[in-house]
Amino acid sequence: MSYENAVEIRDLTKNYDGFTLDKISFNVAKGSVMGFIGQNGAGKTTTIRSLLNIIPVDSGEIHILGMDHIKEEKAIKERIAVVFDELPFQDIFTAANMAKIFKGIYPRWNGETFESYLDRFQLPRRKKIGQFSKGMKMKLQIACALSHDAELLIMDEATTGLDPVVRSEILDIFLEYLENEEHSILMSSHITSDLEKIADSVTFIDRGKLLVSGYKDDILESHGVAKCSRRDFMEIEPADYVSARLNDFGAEVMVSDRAAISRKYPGMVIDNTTLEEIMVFYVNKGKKEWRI
Amino acid sequence: MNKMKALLWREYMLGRKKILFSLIAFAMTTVLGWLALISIKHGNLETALKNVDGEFPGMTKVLDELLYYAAMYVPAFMSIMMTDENGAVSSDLKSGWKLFGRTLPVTAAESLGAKYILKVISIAAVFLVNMGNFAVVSLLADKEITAFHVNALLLLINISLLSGLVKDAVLYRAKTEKETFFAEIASIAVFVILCIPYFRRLNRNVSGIAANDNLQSLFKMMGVMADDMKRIFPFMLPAMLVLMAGGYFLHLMIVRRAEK
Repeated sequence: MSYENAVEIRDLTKNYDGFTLDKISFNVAKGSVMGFIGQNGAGKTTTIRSLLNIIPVDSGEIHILGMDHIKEEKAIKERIAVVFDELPFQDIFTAANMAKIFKGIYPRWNGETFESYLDRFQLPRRKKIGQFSKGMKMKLQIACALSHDAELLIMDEATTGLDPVVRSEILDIFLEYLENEEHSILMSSHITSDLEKIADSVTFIDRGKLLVSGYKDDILESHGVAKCSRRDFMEIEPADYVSARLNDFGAEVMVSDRAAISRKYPGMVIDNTTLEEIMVFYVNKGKKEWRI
Repeated sequence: MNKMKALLWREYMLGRKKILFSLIAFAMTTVLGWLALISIKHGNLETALKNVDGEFPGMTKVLDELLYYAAMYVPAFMSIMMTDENGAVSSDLKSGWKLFGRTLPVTAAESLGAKYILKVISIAAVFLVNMGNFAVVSLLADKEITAFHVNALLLLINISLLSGLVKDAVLYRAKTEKETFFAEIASIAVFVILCIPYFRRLNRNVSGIAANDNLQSLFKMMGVMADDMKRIFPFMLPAMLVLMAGGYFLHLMIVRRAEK
């Protein structure tokens, strides 16, 4: 089945007591990496569990690899891989044991690929998983995820808690995985530096609401932080900025359309920004002005 | 087929330690039972307990009978421990496999089905090894295996299945999946509640016997219990099937509800 988007989510809504995932819509284009960003409790995990049909949605449409996420759940799950922040395998198993289990579960399991990942990650085959370090556990989970020719890799905070060396090694593996144009990644994280390295597009979510979604480069190019005095800040119209961080010396103002703001406020210096700063300013959008 | 084989193998690996522990306990109690039976027939127990007339005095008269049953049913009780699948369910929850399993091309029914297939295999193995033990014990005690012995073994297995079912019912009612101390207590409480009126009735049956004749009271009680057991024996196999199916569907309901 041919498809343009590895993931298509339209108006996804899920109500919990005290939390609502509110009409979330975004796409993950085939062959790309989508960074799904938000602070803890923003709704990232709820969104991922909804698209995996782990939790039922209240309304909305989800298509994965061009298939309906409920009607063709089994076919989808044969062709995707999911990596969680914690290794979900019991401590008594070994890497060799897991290969035996997954060989039976996944029709497209490739033992040679798995072996090559074990060699590359220097993971022992017969050592019990309970004796693995956190980094080794994550590498094993990734080796399992990438050994059945999954077309879509979904990661829920997979790099959280790993040291920078392991994170960098894992990100390199993902880049290799993406060399096949049929492969796509949806990666939820609050570590924006990882996503800045590998994501093609990003979706920001906060308190169940979608804040911004689009190509990473476009978002980074259109957004910027203007550093100005309090007096200059008072002249900026509230509709022209996302939010402003005030300090004793002046204000840092996040704008979402640098070109338009530069035209409107000539002489204003607007610096480049990062995904992390964008997240912080969007999260404080409701307050408009906030102090540090 | 490959999928079910893989799931079954996984369940076996998870339950391997419990099965081994149960088999060791079974083997130890079996050997102890055999030794005790040999000893009371031809060894030190016989020499120590028999009086000068070559007879077993007082309560020791029934000792060989008690040892005969103990040599059959204590090992049976030990081996039945291996049939409990709740440990594997808890382990899946604790490790995160239960959540991860939802990302695999495996349904909840398949996953739970593997646990129950292993349970059926375990019950069959328990039945066979105990029948083997019954044969040896009967040989040592110069007795014959009767339908009573087989049905009593099935009754023990059914009690274990009922205990699991009560635990599951408590978990279902408590809207949780995690095996709790409360569920354990509840399953014991159900048996206590069921047993109290029964033992009251037994007590009434022996009330006419002189208070100091313990042996006669014991024989009378055992006789009544044996009669009662005979009455329920025809239902043992159907009850086992109902309890197994009930356990599976209740478990499936718990899993599916948790998924919502």
